[in-house]
Amino acid sequence: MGEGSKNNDPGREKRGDESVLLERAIELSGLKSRLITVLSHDLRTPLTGILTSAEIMSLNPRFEGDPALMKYTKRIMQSVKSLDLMVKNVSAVDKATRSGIKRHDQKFYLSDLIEEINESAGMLLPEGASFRTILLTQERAVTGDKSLISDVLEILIDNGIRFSGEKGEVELRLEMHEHELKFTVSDNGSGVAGEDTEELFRLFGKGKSTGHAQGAGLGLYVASHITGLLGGELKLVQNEDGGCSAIFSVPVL
Amino acid sequence: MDKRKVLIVEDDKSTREAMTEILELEGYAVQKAVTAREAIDTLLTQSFDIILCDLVLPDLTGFSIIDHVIASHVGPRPVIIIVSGLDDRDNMRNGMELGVDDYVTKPFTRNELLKTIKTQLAKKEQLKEEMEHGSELKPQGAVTGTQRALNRETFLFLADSRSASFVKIAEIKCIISDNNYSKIFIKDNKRFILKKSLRSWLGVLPKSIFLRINKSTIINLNFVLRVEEWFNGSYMVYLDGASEPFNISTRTVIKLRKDIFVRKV
Repeated sequence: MGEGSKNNDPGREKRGDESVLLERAIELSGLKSRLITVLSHDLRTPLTGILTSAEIMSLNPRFEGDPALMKYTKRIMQSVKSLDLMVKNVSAVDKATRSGIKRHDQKFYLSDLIEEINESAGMLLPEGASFRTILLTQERAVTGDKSLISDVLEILIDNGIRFSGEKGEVELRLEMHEHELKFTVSDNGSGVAGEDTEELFRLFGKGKSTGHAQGAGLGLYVASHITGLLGGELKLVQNEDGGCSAIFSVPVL
Repeated sequence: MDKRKVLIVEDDKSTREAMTEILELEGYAVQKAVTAREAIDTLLTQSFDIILCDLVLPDLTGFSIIDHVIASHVGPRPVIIIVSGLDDRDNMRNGMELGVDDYVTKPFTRNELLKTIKTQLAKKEQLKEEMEHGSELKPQGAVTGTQRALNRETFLFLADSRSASFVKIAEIKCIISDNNYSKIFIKDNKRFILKKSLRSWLGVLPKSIFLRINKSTIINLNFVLRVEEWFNGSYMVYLDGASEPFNISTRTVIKLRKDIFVRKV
């Protein structure tokens, strides 16, 4: 077919360009995902070295009771945990935009979930801030995706800690109603009064009152996406006495 | 008591050293490998209680090591835990399907690592004990009860030296005794060999669907395709998915459900 016939059909040329562009876009999206996967993996490995080495150092009997060492170890662990959470969120955003987050239900004990959350929150907590857990249900085994539930709670607790400042007080409350787990993460921060809470759940969404605090606007987007995947509900409400509560409900068997 | 032996397969030096220190402080005897090839060579000459295996290695993937361990162990195999920076669910599922016991995502804390190892070792110990004492039959949800009557919806935890899983009673196709052992054939072609007599199986299986058809065989009636009366007067029962028919005593043919067709050949 000659050149002339191409020029006679500009629509076909345009369609051809569009198809090339589409292919290029798909290729670039694949590259971006691959880059994120490789970076996440390559960042997590040295983070393990830093985290475990800091822990080993704090356990050394020579430094036992040394407040300065404990302070610096805590600071290293807190930074590693924050960085890990950031890597996790970037990776989760990539997966969420490609519908790549998968659900995997299994039987687990509530105490195991809470123990995991307490450890994670303990690492995220800066000096002067506090975290406590209130359990309003008895120990029981449930079936659900423990790992995804834990991811959502980690994000909500991290937000609570970050947006309530150095003297922050964050609380996790767990209730169980029929076949539903209800988690409430409350803080004493600036709250969400006057905020467009829907905007906060959007990708890169930031509130007016949260402008001064660190945050890329990924966490709540990821939390909301996972909540949808779990068939649950997530909402932010202003506390009467200040601060904010994130209420996360998720069905389990 | 001898120290528990751990093989750490990790190419990142600082992670490898930190893991070694954590485990040695807890009294484990640690051996290290940087590549999959090195790990497989080590596994050919030494045995371990636990293998902590990274997935992304310089030569092969960690799955190749796991494949080797699963394929080469005839007796109880070591606890295998994947320790990886890949948090992809597909990787986790692949590992679990291969027979991996647990998955720890980097960056992990000392507590997470030690807790995972202890939990998996305790599970392994429990399985070993149950197998040695012939009490491997544990209905899910029952506190004790090797002799508890089961119904078709009950799950049994079955474990032998090759695999372990929950199996729905209704999915047991047949059980064939072999001296003190019994071979349990499951719907999806899985098979377990347990130290348990046919008599003790009869005590727990629901009589509504299980029938002893000869001295050494119990069958699930829901898997019966047909019964044939052979020219010599003997009867043979064909089960769905079984390669050979089973001999069934004349007395038992009478006990068969009325809807099972007996034909002469």
